[in-house]
Amino acid sequence: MTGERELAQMFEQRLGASQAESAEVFHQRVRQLDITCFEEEITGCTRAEREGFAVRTLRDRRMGSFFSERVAPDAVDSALSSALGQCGFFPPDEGAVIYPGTGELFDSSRYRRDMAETPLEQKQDFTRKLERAARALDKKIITVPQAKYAEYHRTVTVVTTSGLKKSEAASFCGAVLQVTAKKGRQTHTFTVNAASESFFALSPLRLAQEAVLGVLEKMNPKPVESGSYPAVLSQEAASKLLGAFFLSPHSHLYAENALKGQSRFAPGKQAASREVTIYDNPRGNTPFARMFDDEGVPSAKQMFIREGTVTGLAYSVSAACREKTAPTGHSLRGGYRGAVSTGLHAPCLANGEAEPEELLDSCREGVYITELDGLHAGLDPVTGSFSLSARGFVVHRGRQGKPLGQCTVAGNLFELLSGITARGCDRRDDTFRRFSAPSLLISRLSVSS
Amino acid sequence: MEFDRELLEEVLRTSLSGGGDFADIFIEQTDSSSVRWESGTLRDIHAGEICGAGIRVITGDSYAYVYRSNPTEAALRSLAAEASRASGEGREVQLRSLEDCTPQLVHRIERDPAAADIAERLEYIRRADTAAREYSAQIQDALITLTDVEQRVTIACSDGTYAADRRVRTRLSVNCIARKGDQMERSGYAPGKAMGFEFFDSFPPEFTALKAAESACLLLDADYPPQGVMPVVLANEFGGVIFHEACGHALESANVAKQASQFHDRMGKRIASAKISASNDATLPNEWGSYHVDDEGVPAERTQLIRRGKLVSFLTDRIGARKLDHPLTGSGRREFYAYPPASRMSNTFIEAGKSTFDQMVSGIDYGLYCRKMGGGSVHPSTGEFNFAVNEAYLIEHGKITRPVKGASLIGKGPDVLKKIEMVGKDLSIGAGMCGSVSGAVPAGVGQPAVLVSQLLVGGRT
Repeated sequence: MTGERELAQMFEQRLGASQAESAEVFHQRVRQLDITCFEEEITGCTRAEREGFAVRTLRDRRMGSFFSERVAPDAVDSALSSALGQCGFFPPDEGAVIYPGTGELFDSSRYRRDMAETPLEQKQDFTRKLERAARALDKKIITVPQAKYAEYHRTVTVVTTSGLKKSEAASFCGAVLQVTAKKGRQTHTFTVNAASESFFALSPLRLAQEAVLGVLEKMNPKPVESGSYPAVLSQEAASKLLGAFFLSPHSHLYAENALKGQSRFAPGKQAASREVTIYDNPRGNTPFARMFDDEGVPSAKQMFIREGTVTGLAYSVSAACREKTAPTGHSLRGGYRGAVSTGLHAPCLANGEAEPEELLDSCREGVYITELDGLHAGLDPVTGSFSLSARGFVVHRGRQGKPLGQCTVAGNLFELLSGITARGCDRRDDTFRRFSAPSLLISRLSVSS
Repeated sequence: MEFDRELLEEVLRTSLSGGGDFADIFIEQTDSSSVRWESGTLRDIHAGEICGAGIRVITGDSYAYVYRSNPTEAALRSLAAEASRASGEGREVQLRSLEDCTPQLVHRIERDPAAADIAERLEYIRRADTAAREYSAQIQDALITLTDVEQRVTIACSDGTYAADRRVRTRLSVNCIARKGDQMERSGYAPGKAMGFEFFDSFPPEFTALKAAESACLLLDADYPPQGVMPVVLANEFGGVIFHEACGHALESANVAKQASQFHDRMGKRIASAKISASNDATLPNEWGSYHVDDEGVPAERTQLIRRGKLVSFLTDRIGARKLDHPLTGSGRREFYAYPPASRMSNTFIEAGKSTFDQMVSGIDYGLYCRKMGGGSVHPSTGEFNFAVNEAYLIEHGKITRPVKGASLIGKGPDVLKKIEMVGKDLSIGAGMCGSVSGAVPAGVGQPAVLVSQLLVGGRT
């Protein structure tokens, strides 16, 4: 972290020389590797290094900001000046605050040197194996549109005028595999992904088996009669659906939305069935783990809903200041190009004890939804309503039955949370999904087909 | 951040010294400003600059791409050496001297956003906020974002291409939250053009705000839609997202070359109703997805994709054109320098037909009129698409009746294209952001109103 210490010192000096009452610099450095393969050829190899910073300045309770990729003292001065120039356009705001915390932290415990030291050729070979394994598993696999290895090293540094200097380095890698299978006139596709802190934990064969099984199970789909059914959401579908709601800027878990009267969650309120416990665990073993948030506030495990009852909300520094409470370490900015807003690190709906097969058994007659599409447009995070494209299976006599053709599922988040009657034990931390959930048994879900 | 051509030629030479057979350099400087307004007050101003460069070496059908932010001359030389090492062996290439191929200026900017101060931006926003709130007491809040971007790119290629482009875009997004008792609904409208602030002459803030407010209030009184297969009339403008998803992505060479497209072997064959002709056109003056040259230095063009139902062209980038032995269509695009370019749509639309809106509706006994589409997505391999519908109405006995909310449309691209029975005269293009392998790029989507004889409508029971 030598470079980061010097960088933090430079930022500290420039902040000290600025005219702001208080100010902050957020810096991010990213090194990235992407390898793609098609028909045994490495078709793309992208290697990158990118860095930039964002400043925020405070004057008379008015906050200005500016970002730049010119990381140099004069560019920092210029950015601070631009940010200060904005302040006069804002009305005074009690939520305009730079985190007053102090202290130094230079952490690289999540940086994996072994990943950086593994030769490029070995990673290219991994990508070839990924594609080869998928094609070899079944002759119905006609193409592998995506066989990709990706690696990401990120260093985040936050420096403020109050004496806070923190830097954190982390790295992770992952793979994405998409396969397309054809049988007669039917064509189906299925995508899987895996993420890890170690290159050697990724298994091309395991991913290929998961993808090929997934696509072959979709063969010979049957329509289901439109109606309302008991349903099981697979861990993948449940993670996607709940993540789309709870990670949205309009998330009902964010205190800033509650302050605007746009959250249905309030501490002490029963918001879901007793099966639902939702928390954020930024110190867990996931690609999204963090020691501190993007304002420098230490991160910690935070419970939001325990057995259906709301126990707390996520507070950025701004929201905490407005409510005169402590921030919970939930400010994220999506890199230096993004604005500061509330965000969750690695939230999850806690595991239950049932195997997915047991959930199907409890469902008896209904639908088992394994894929959802259109989440970026087909749901309203404010009202909770959703109508999405889905794939899955019929549940018949408590077992996975025939595959469903493309259908839509529709409902409302809050009704769905209240209608969860059982949870699986299959939640996963080893994917690119920030929100993770186990398979869920839902009392009713509208299906159109 | 400017580099002289001699340096760029040297960098290209170094890039190809490892044996690649084509190299290009992409240099970008982008200034952006996003002013966000919420709860009747200025929420934040997010402004800044990015600058970076990427070097790509193509060998056969493969590429190596390296990039970095804030490049200096030394950094460009270093990137070239790295790109050269990463590329495979190719044929020996005679490097051509760079010649300026920048096309004639089409997308003129009259009122440069860079010359406007924050006060001017706030004035546009205040006008929108006032108009939304005055529309109805049911409007609880208006979330308004004014974004303007100026992207300056330079592309230098080993075949001698040297081109520059300045892309200025302005977009106003208004999202209204309407409330009646405990019920809350949200709807928005977000027009954008490749323009400066003359954009507001065509799209006054009040116009955008009223469309958003009207739609949000209407949803307060809307029922859930019927479910099942029925005739659907899709309105013009953003209704074109259905063609973008159902067909456009499957015509991108990146998908076609991997046979990950339902249309990969359909060139020259009928893929749509004979009433359908469709094009992709990056030359439409000041349209949201327009540009002068693509991100590979290829001049923008109008590409006819479907002519009277027959597939006549794919959309290609340089690698896709090689793989498919297909002409370049000026479709190599990327969000910014951190992505290698890929074949992408610019402004894609179904061309105007001859039917009137009344002719479409009057023949439907029971169906759905989708006035305002949300986003959608597609699996190009299977053609399966899905769209959210933000504002829709029932069609009963040939007349538009009640509003409905929360509908979605699903189907397969090749099927739905054949089921378009009528095409209207009122072609219009809307603004969207399209996310794919090379990031999120501005994409115009358009069509006249169309009648699809059968589509699966999903909603709640």
